[in-house]
Amino acid sequence: MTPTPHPALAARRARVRRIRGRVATGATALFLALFSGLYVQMATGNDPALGEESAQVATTATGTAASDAGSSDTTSSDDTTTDDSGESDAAPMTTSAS
Amino acid sequence: MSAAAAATGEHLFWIVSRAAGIVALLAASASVGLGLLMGGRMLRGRAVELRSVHEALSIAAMAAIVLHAGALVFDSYVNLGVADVTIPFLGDHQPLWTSLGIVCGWSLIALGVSYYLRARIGVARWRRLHRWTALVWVLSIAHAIGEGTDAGRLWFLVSVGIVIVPAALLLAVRHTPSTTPTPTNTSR
Repeated sequence: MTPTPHPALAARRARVRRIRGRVATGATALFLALFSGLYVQMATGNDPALGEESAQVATTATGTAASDAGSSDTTSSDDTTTDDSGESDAAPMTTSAS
Repeated sequence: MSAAAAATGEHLFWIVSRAAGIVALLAASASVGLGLLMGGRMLRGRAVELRSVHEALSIAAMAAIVLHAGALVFDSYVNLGVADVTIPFLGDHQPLWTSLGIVCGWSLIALGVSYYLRARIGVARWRRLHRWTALVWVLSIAHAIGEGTDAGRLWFLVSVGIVIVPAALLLAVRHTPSTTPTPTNTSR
């Protein structure tokens, strides 16, 4: 049978637990906010390291899909807007990632 | 938008690492600032609560450091192995700044864990050891500014500055020699 701690000690432990919980919640919330912000920044092509490359990858992927769809129709050659200069190898390598 | 999400999805671990790095820097800065306030007797009362916040912020910083380094291992573009993010001067990716970050990470974790071993270390010796945290913190700021992808962004500088500047001022005050003569206690 474990002895019950002194009420003051129990209250102090509860306060400490509450503080730890709040800090952990705050840190997690901060992390999620930063993660979301960086995700949106990258998805919109405003990433400082990748610049517009991340958006270009998306555009090219969409463009390639469109041209693939268009290539089946051999008569319509005027609607393909993408040249294949920056297609699938546009893997956004970074040199300043950390 | 789904294609953009797919493209960004390839960098998820890199984004995790960046976010965790910023959380680590903010938590460590807040912890150092609070520690300096407590050490300089600028905050009185509620010692247990203040120490708990200081400790919790340090643990949060250590956890974020682990996530910051660990996420890079899983990132397919930066291509770093476990050894590259744990052993200084091993990887090719910005060796100086990365190595500084690795040294700071290990040092902060070691200094943080030493709190729980202070009875074994000796309280006086542990206090002397604990002061090195400030130096490691300054070096970790250098790592963040020197290598951080977002270091040039205004939002980063403002959000980090809000926490770093007060802590840096407190550190400067702490290490500025006092010009006022210390009163000699002759009454006893």
